[in-house]
Amino acid sequence: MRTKLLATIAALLLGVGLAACGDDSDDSPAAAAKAGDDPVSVSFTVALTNDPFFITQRCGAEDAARKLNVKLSFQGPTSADFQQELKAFNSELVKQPDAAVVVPFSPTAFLAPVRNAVAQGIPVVLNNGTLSQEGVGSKQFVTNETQLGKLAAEGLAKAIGERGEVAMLAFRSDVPPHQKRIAGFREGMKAFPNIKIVDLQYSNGEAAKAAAEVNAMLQAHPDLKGLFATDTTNSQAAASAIKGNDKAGAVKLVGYDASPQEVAALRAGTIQGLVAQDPYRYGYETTKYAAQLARKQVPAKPAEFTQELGGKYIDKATLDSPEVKPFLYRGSC
Amino acid sequence: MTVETSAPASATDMDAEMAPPRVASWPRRVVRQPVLWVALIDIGLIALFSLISPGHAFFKVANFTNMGLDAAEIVLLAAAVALLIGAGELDISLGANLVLSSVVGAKVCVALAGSDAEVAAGLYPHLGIAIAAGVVATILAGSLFGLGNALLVTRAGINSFIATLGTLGIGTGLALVIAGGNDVQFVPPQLQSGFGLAKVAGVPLAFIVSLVAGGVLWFLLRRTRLGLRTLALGSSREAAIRAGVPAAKTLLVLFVLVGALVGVAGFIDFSRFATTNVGGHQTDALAAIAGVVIGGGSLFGGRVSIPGAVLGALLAVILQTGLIIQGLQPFYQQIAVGTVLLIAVWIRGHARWTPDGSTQT
Repeated sequence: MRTKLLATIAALLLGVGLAACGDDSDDSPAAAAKAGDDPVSVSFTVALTNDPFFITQRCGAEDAARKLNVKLSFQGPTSADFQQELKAFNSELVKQPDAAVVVPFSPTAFLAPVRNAVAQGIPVVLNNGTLSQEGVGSKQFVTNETQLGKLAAEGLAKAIGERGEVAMLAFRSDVPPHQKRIAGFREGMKAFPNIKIVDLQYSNGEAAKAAAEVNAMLQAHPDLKGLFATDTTNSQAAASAIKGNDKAGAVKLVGYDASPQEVAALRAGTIQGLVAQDPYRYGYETTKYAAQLARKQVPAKPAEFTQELGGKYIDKATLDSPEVKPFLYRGSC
Repeated sequence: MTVETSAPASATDMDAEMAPPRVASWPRRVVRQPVLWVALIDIGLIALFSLISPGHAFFKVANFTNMGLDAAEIVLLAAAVALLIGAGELDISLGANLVLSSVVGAKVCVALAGSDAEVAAGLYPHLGIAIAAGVVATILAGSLFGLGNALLVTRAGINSFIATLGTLGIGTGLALVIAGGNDVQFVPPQLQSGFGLAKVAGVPLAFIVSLVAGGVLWFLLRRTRLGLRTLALGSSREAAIRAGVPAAKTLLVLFVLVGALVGVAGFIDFSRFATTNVGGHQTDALAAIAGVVIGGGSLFGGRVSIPGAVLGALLAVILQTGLIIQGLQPFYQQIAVGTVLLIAVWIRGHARWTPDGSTQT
């Protein structure tokens, strides 16, 4: 009885494993002939896989994979835990992909594994992040976060009439992209001498914590005019907290990233502005570059290590314009 | 003085009353061991994933090395908490303790390795003493955390689940306060190459440390008086106390011991990544307890197996890694892991372990 049971479980696992086997694009002979290039495998590791930013990255990556005959393996945890992401990254490397794209959620912890990958002959493209040492890996794609922070400052300043108290709600204090957003915001606010930044809180990516902190900020600073939330979770939590305190419109909110919920809030008026990155291009360009590395069409150590991808400030007026549309994040591909 | 005894009516009645319990034959006893079944499930999963993984990638040495490194901490936690569960207590603050100890240890290590400027530039003039101090600080921090738990349970009389629920929150918050909300920077990379990521004959050193610790714990449980008392306390707290087992003292030792081992796991953690992970380790305690239960441990106490706990913890690691290599989407991974855990417990649930191998009626 036990053997039959074990056999059934083995079959079950096999079934589950094959049935839900991810969205690896199959290389059909027709596609290979059309693309003219041999198929290459690219592993794409992120964390926060259900965050619209990374879902949109995935859309871009899959489109690039289809166009360039790449077998894409998209993996990662749903949490922001870098240990889980490393597990995914290391497991991907075991499959010896032709190239790897990774979002280093911890610049320090990912240094040794990326070095290890490069030592094994797998070129690595850094996606939306940096490592604690410059120059490890083949190329890094980053957003000019400081610039986008400045855009947020200008947008919020205009929204509150260029005077009053503002506060910031951020992810964590040790993640470089967020540090730059905060620094850029402060820099941008210097141009508005009548605006004072009175508070900065960190939510560690937890919506409940973010909402609680905004509630506390609204109590502690009754004259608060504006809030800058540095990512999707914070923006959404802040919007709900501001609404919950009946201050929608009284406290102007500028969020970061343009997830579907944030865009809806922008339309509804609970958010006044959004600073959008370009995750679709992130996914597309990193996959494209990884494929080029795999096919040796570009050198493993290019002259320009860093490539910047831009962003856009979106408010209700510009929301439906064609230039803005590609910057809106998706909830599914 | 005469003592009244009731004499048995006949010889056969006496035989029936005083006959020794029927001990099963040794093959039967082996088959009933839950450890055997967990081992078989583990091997079965390894075989399955090796077969179906693309390019048999699961069976590569690199993958086993990865799994060993991934398993090092959780195996240590499972073996440690098995002792507590054997004594009839629970500890859900393991993850918080690990984070706090690793933060304390990493900070001490970085502080002693050199001045702020030197360390930021990657220079570590006092590396040896810094690492030694880091080890001591992590284990000490873990032990103190365990002591805190022990006092709450034995002195304040708080149920261990609630007590460790409280220290879970306190520990996590304290770690964030000490770390300033960030993960500790500038941990010497020599620690990573020399210990965290080091291998001995292809096997990760950290994993070897965990296995050795597991071996020591097994010896403690099965061959020492402490182990006997532990199981007695878990089996029947009342009876053990009446039999003279010093409950408070034993539990104190156990909680501190578990805390110290969690400290070791914390040291493995930051020496592996060259930084701490204050945002992680949130499901560590549950994963460790699950490993213990899969391995044949009873949550009510009195029955626990260290090798079972180790193999049970490995089960989750094997499964997760196998599913990632298969390309299963993260959402499905979580469903699969949960399902297999339930199935594994159900399978080995038919094997009810008792010390002499006899059937339990």
